[in-house]
Amino acid sequence: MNVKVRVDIRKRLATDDREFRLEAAFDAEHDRIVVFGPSGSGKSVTLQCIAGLLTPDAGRIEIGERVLFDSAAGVNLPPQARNVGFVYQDYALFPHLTVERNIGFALQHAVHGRLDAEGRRRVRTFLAVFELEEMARNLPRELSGGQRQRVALARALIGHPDLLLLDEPLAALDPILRERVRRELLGVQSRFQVPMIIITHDPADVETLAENLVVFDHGHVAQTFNLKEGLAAGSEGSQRERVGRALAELYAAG
Amino acid sequence: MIGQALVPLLLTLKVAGCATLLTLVVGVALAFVLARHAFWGREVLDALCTLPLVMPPTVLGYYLIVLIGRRGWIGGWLYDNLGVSLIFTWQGAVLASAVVAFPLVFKSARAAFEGVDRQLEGAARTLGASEPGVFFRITLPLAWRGILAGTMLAFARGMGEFGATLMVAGNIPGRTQTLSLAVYDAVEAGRDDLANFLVLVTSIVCVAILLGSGRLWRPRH
Repeated sequence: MNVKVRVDIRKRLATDDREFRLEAAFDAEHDRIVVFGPSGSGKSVTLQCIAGLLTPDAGRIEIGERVLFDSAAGVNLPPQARNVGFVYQDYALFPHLTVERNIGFALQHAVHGRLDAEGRRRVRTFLAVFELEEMARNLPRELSGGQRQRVALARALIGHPDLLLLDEPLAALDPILRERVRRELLGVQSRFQVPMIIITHDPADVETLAENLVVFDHGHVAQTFNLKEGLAAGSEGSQRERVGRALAELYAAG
Repeated sequence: MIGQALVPLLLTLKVAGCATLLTLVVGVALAFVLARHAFWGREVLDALCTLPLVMPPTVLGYYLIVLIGRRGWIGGWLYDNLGVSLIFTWQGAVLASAVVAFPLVFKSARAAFEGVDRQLEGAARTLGASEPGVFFRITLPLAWRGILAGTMLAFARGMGEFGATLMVAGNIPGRTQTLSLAVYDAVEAGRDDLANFLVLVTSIVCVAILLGSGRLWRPRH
């Protein structure tokens, strides 16, 4: 898969009492890009800009050959046209729809909300893959945290996105579940062949998931690492040290 | 006596029903715009939409006469171009009831829309739903209960409307005389038996509406 992701954006966010300036630029070309940084460093805003949920003030966002946003050329695809899956930190499942209707949302007819035969078949497949068959007719509030997350993943993946964005996918889970869900994420990726950008502030996620690592700090990209090639070149030790140092500096500064 | 109660009862239900429908459409649309778009003068517009809640109905009725009377801004145009006048008609009573009941729908709809998690709308967009799709599949179903609560109150308020209706539509038996006006007339004329009967009918209908709306209330999610 190896889709090349190029992001170079500026965005100013202001509330009554404070102002935040994001100036984020990074290139990444691996399947698992981990965006790491303390909370408030601009990770989530960047992800929402890629999904089209926020509009940058200026810059450019490219996925593979597709330009999603380019302020100079006046390009700004709406989120509906970006074909980018998004998994929110607290999953944002539709509380009034059953598990199967949440998962099938992207395939449902826009007016009457029903699925065609192919759509029904696909929802059944996804229910099975994500081990949610028994919960198909339950509402999100009746699910456990891990089940909710699987619904959110299934819902985002069912429409064949070019890229899957995950905003702190593990933060809402208890520590015992996290390790299991990390493995599940790797499994989902190899099954659906979808590149991912994953936000985290947990170093353990970097260890397990990152091929590219983008470190955010105070609205800027502080450092980027290519961990996959670093490992392949046999310089694992020094690469790890550099990552470790960068993360330690971040914590010391924060 | 039953006939004397039935005519105003049916008229009241017709007027309150039409007024509720009118406030529902306009109130929900306006509430959605105010809940989702920040623009200059938004809170001024909100205050204007809430004003009928605090103003005396007779004052509202007077404003309406100024607007829709034959020499009014809107009424003059209607009369000159279409030959229609709303004063002293049941349609005028609908307009009066709608204006008085409007804040109840508008306020609860705005609060209901603001209570819908914006992330859910964002999630629907990333899943390919068009803007009308987001509204009808996510926002409206999640805000619906709050809107319905306001709508029930608006209907009840419309049923009991007196002041503005009297100003705009008058008190013409069989044409614009609603239940509350008929009760007033009966008491004025010293017809206690008719007044008692009308009050009883009104009370039964109101209790029935409250019980019926209570069934819609029960939480689902």
